Parts: sequence; structure tokens; C-alpha cells
Amino acid sequence: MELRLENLVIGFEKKQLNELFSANFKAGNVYAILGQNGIGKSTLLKTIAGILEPIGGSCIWDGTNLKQLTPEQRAKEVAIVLTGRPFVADLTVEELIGLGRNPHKSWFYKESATDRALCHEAATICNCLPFLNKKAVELSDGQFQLVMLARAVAQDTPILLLDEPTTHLDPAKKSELLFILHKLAYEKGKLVLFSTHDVEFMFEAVKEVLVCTSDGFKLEHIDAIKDTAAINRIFPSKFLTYSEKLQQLKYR
Amino acid sequence: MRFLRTQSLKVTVAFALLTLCFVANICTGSTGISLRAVIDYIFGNTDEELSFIIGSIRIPKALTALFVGMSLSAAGLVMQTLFRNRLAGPYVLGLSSGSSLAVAFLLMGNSILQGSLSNFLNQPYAIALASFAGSLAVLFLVLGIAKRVADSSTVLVAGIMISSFAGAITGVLSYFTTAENLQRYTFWSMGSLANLTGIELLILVVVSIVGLLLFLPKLGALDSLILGDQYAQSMGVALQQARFYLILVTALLVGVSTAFCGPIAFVGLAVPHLSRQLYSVNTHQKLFPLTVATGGTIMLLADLLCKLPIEGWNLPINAVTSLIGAPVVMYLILKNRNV
Repeated sequence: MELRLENLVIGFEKKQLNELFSANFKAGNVYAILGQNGIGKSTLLKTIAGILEPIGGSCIWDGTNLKQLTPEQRAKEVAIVLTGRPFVADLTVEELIGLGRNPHKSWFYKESATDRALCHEAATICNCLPFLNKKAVELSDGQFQLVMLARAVAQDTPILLLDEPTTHLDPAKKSELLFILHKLAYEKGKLVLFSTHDVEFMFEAVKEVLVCTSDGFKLEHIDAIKDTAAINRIFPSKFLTYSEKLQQLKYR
Repeated sequence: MRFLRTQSLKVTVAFALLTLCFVANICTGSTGISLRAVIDYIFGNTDEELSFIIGSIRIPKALTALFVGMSLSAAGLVMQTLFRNRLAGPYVLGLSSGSSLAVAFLLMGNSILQGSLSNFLNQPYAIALASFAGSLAVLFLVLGIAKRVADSSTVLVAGIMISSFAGAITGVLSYFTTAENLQRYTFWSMGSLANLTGIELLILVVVSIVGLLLFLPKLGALDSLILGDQYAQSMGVALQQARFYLILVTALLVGVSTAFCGPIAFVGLAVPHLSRQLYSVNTHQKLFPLTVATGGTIMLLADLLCKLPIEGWNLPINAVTSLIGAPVVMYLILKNRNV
């Protein structure tokens, strides 16, 4: 199964963000979307998730245009973790993760054993078990990020989108996240697609990356961007270089 | 009440409290009525006088309190989620003022305009319709503002401004109207659970039941809406449609209870919080029945308190609900500095 973005143009009513592009993402893989602030990474993810309408083109999953699905059907195919910390009222972590089951429930139908099992599995995968009974407002930003990921995992969709998932994470949590994303893709067969400008994390996480520059969006192999010229094409700055020896970015 | 483990136990306790307060409310008043007498009344063996007091005064008033409490609390719960603001409620966001303004036009405006519609306007459902329209208009206005400004405290300020604005127009109307009409409006605006005619009570009960039932299919969507519009969409909520639906039903519930009982303060705001605290649940599927039951309970209790202090006199209902509600709001502000 694969997600095909065909001649996609994204943006808002007054502002088109890119020239049309096409790209294919295969299930069972992790992909990154790399680009500078404001280039349209979040907009692209929200467009795939159906939160925003594309200006042109279509997102096709397994032969179905996602736009033709009802919101409920689409929510069974695509889950997303957004940036920022939403208002969560007084929800406990367990309740918050449980929200992921909403698209699978009808209103008169109570939480089933399957719902509970999937929530528990999601919490286990995302290392949320230690704070399951805490109030979500009491969590640190890093813990909260993992809980929101668990909620999306509990939604049990073949496509998982994450917007800047490494924000707020310390190195330990980042390594956990990497492990979780790989597990979801390689063991659960999900298509995982995350936006980032955390280059080091991306080098560890993916083999292919959708490079977003003002010249266009293009799927490239990770090795193709491991040099200073390529990095500067994505992040134009005279202070930024790529160190081949360290395999990381340097500020000069 | 943390010892209540399961949802069914919580619901049982909530409705048991409700029943208790309903009976206690019927028993209390200038004529003390024993529990015995109420039971006798149910089986139809009371004397005529007691039967009249119970059947024609006490029970209608208790039913009014019950349904007003349930409607306003449910509306408050939905508004708090819709606006993602703990301080949202029909009274704070100006819905009640919108209703008041519309009713003010109805009760005082026709003497100024000398409208030929005055016959129609004296019907009980005319007040209900005007009140519904008023709260609906304000709700749409506030929601329109809420969509433009992200900051939720700005939305509250907007609600307060709308209240003041509506209040000002009402003030102008009352300045020019006749003393008789002004008196009618003033009594209405002080809030009262008594003196509903049979047909008014029927409208209140039917609309409240329909409104409350209409919320049920959207409880899951409300849960998703806690996290905000974008997450809700990603979890399968058809946003525009769900929002419109919820606003319509909310305005219906607030409109009908305000129409017959006047603007009642704080119940819609405070009761959802009370139920959250009492039963420690937060998702709407669980919270909704508990909030509805607690709303009825609190309103019956407030009405009971109105009857207590002075023999033969009733305190205005708004005085008591504010006495309960205002401290709850203060507590919330102090507990969460980031409401």
C-alpha cells in the first residue's frame, strides 16, 4: 500500500505555498519532511489529514482519494499529532489516549474490550504507562508529546503523521521516539510521516526525506543531502555547514 | 466522591440525590408537607386542599426547577467544551442577556411601536421564540468572535461587552415604556420558577427533553472537540456541521428556560465543574448524565433554600444561585491561574 501525492498544491486561500509536486510514500516506512520555517511542512501534513483542503491535486491512499472519504472514514485511515500543547480540560492521560478511539465508536456504544486493549497497547508502545492516571495538564512537555503520540496510535490508522515531534524532547526522549516510530513502521506496518528541522534526528530516523525548498518539494535519499551545499539549499544560511566527519550540522 | 468506582454507581447516586431533592423540594414550603402525605398523594388518597397544594403548586414548580437546572447545566457543559473555556456558560457569555433583550423588545417594545402584532406577542410561545432567537443570535456572535481571536479570555470579555450592550438597549426600552410593561419585564428578569401556566410548563418540559436528547449523538464529537478544532477534524468530526448543531441545541435549551424563568445566573457555569469535581469524570459520555442530574439537583436545592429563611416568603432564585455559583467561579480562578 502506498500514499500517492499527485500534483499536489497546498496553501491557503490567499497564499499558495508550493509549485505542484508528486511523491509516493510506502506503508511500513518512516519518512521525514524537511524544510525551513514557514515553507509549508505543517500545511502539507494538515492537508493529508484532511484538516485543510488542497488548492490542487490529490492525496491517494491505497487507490482511494482521501478527499472523497467522510471525516469519520478518513479518521480511520489517518491520525495526526500536531505541534503545540492543546487545552485538555481536566482529562487524565488515560482518558486523553482513549479519545483516539472516538472515530471507531458510535454514540450509543460503550468502550469495548478492543478499545481498551488498543489504548493499553498504544500507551505501552509510547512508554506512557507510568503516568496513565495523572492529569494531562500536570505532565512535562516531553511526556505530553508522547501521550499525544499514544492517542494517535490508539486511533489505529495505517497512516500516522507527526508535526515536529522532537520539539520539547530531551535526548533520552528523542531516542525513545526514534525507537517508537521505527517499531510502528517496521512491526506494525504503518506509514509514518513526520515534519522536522531537527537534522540529526532525521539522519537517524529515515532513509528518504521530502525536501521542501522554495524551488519545490521533492523526495530524496538521505545521503543526497549530506553535504554543505545541499543543507544550504534547504536552510539558506552562510553560518551553517555540514560536517561529514561528525555527520551533523555545524555553526561557524 | 472517590469511593464511587464505576460509572453506573455514579449515575445511580446522582439520580438518587436528584430524586431526594425533588421530594424534599415538594415537602418544603409555607405549608409543611410530610413525606407520608406525598406518598399518599401519589396513590390518590389525600384531601382536596393538600392535593391542590401538591398537584398544582409544588409539583409544577419542582418540575420547572428540575428542567431549568438540567437544561442550563447541559448547555453550560457544551459551551465550555465548544469555547474550550472553563468559565463559559449561558450567563457569562451573554446568552441570557440576548434572551433578555429579545424578551424586553417583546414585553416593552410593543407599547412603543404600537405594533399590530401585540395579540400574537402575548402568547406564551412568543416569549419562548423571542428568547430562543435572542440567545441564538448572541451565541453566533460570540462564536464568530471566538473563531477570529484565539485568546479565550478575549472571548469572555466580548461576552461581557455584549451583555452590557444588550443591557443598555434594554435600559433605553424600559425608560420609554409604560409602568405596567416595565413591571412585567422587571419581574421576568429577576428570575422565578413559579407561576408557569400549564402550557408554559409543557413547552418547557418537552423542549428540554428534546434538547437534552439531541445532545446525545454528539457526545463523542464533544470529547474530540476538547482538544481543539483541528484535532477534532482529524478524529472524524465534521466541524462546521457539528458546531452549528451544538449551537442550535444550546440556544434552544437556554432560550426556553430563560423565556419562562428569566435569566438564571451561574447554574450553567458552575454545575459542570461541580459534577467533574464530585464524580471525577471528564469525558462527555460519562459526564453528561451526571451533569444533567446534578443540574436538576442543584436547582431544586436552590429553590428549596429560597423557601427556607422567611415564613411565607420566597427569596429570588438568582440570589441563591449566585450565592452558590460565585464562590465556585472564585475557586476555579484561584485553583487554575491559567483558565
